[in-house]
Amino acid sequence: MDHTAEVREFFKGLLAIRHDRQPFTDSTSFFLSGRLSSVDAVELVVFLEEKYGIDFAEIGFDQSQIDSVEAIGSLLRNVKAID
Amino acid sequence: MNPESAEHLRRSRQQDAETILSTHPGVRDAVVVVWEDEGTGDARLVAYAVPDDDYIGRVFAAGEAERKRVQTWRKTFDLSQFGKQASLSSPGFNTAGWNSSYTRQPIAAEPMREWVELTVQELRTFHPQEILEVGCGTGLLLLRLARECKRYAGTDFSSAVLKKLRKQMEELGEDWSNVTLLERSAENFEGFAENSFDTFILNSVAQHFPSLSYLLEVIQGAIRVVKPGGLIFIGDVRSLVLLEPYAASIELYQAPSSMSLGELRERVFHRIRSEEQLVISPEFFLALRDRFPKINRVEVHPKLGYFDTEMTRFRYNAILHLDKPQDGNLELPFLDCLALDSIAALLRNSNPDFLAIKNVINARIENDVEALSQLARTEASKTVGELRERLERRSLLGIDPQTICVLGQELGYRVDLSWATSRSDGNYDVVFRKIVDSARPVHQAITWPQADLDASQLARYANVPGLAVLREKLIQQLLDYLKQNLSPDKAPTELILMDALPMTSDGQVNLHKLPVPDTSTG
Repeated sequence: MDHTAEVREFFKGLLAIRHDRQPFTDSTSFFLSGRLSSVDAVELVVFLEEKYGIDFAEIGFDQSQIDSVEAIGSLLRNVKAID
Repeated sequence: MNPESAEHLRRSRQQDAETILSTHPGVRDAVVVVWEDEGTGDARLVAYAVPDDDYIGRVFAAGEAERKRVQTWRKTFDLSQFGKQASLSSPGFNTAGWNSSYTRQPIAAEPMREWVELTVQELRTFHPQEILEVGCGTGLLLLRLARECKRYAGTDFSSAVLKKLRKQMEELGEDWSNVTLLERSAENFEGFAENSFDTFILNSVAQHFPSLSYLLEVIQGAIRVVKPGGLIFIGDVRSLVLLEPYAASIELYQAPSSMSLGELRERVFHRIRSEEQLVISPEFFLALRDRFPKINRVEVHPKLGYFDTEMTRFRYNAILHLDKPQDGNLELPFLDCLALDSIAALLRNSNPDFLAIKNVINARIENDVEALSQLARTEASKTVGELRERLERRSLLGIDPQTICVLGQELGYRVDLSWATSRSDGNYDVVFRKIVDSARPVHQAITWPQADLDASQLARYANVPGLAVLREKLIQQLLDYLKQNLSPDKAPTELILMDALPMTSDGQVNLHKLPVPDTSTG
C-alpha cells in the first residue's frame, strides 16, 4: 500500500470511530473544517511520527500540514522526500 | 407457517432480545423492532437502547483509557508550542493553542490579554504568597504573580510548554529564584508537604482532565497541601449547565443560512455528544463541602470582561476556601430581577448599604438560550437564516455581567456575582456592597441562593469527555452481549443508541418515531 492509500485508510478509521460515513476526497479538510477534533489530530500525528519518522518538534507544527490527504502527501514529499 | 404463528415468532424474538438487553448494566431502556426492507422483503432485528452514560464513564473511560487521554492532551500542548504562533509570541504572553470554538482560529490578543489580567487581578485580591499552580502552561499567570510571592511552584505535563516558559523567563532576565518548575502530571503532588501553600491554582486546566474522578483526585491533593485559611482557585471552568446553549451558539455561528433547523438541531446534539473536554456544573464544587469538611466556603462566579468570548459567555471561576475563620455570613433578602435603569436608580437614590438581586437575565448568552429554545419548538424545515433574523429582531432584556459590575463600581459599590444556582439559562445573582473605606475592603462571605445538591452523586455534575466515541464501544459490547446470550436468529444485528425512547401519549414506545436504521450496514 502506498503512503496516500495508508493515510486515506487512517482517516477512514478515524471517521469510522465517530460513526461518520460521509464520503471524502483527497482534498477534504478534516481539522480546519471541524469534521475531526484535536484529539483525532493527535492520533494522526502519532501515526505520522511512528510510520514515517516525521519529527514535528523539529519541523514545526501547524494543523494545515495534516488537514487533508493531499496536505499530508505534500508534507511527506517536502520533509521526508516520500512520493 | 400461518401469519399468526409468524407474528407470534416475531414478537417472541423481539421480547427475548429486549429482555436480554435490559439486563445489561449499560442499558437504561430498550426496545427491539423488526424492520422489513420494502424492496427485498428481508426482515432484520434492530435494537434501540438508551445508554447509561455513567456506566460508559466507569467502564470505557477509566484505567488505561484515562491514561491515554492524559497522554493525548499532553501531546496536544506539545504540538501547540511547535508552531509559528508560539515562536513569535512576546515574553509573558504566549497564548499559542488558544483557539476560538466559533472561528477555529486563534483568539485575538486583546481578549486574551483581558482574560489574563482579570484572572491575575482576582488572584491578587487574596494576596497569595506561596502558590502552587498545576498546569502553569506558558506562564500567563506565573510570570505576572511570581514577582509578588515568596514562593511559586508551577507544574505542567508538557515538556515543550515548560521549555517555552523557561525561555521566556531567561528573556525577561529577572530573578526567578523563588520559582520552581516541575514537569509532571496534575495528580502528582510528590514532594509537596502538607499545609505548605496558601494558594492552589488550576486555571483553564480542568477541561483537559479525562474524568471528574481525576479532578477529584487533584482537588484532594490540593486540600492536603493548602494551609488552613488558604484557597483553591479553579478558574475558567466550562459550565455543564450551559453546554447546550454553548453548542447551539457555536453551531449557529458556523451554519450556512440555507441549512434547515432540523439539521442544525442534529449538529447541536452531535456537538454535545462529541464533546472532548470535561465540562462541569458549578454544583460539583458546591457539593464538595459535604465531601471534604476542610472546605469551608465555595464561591462560583461567571468570568468577567468587556470582550465577548466563549470564556466570558460560558465559563466560571470556582474558589474553595479552606478552614477560613467565619465572621458569620451576610444574609440578604434577594429582590427579583430588575432592569439596569431601575438598579442604577435604586443605588443612586436610596444609596443602600447592600442591594441583592437574583436571577438577573444574562445578556451575554440570552440569544444563545433563545436560539436553543427556538430550535426545540420551531419546524425543522425552517432555515438558519430565518432563525438568525428572528434573533436579530428580538430586543435583549438582560444585563451584561461586566456592565452591572462597572455600574456598581462607579457608584462606590463592591459588586459580587454568583452562578451558585447553576441555572441552565446562565442567569446570575448579584450583590452590591457599599464601600465605606477603600483601604479596608469588605470580605464577609455572602449566603448566595444555590441549587439543591447531592454529594453522593457527583458524577452527574459533569459530562463524560469523548462520549460519542465511547458510545460506539458500548454498541459493540451490547451486540456481542446479545450474540452470546441469544441464538443467531434472535440476536439483533444492529443497535442504535438514543437519548430517550419516543413515547406515545398512553406511555407506549412510539415505534413510528424510531429512526430508520442505516441500510448500508444491514
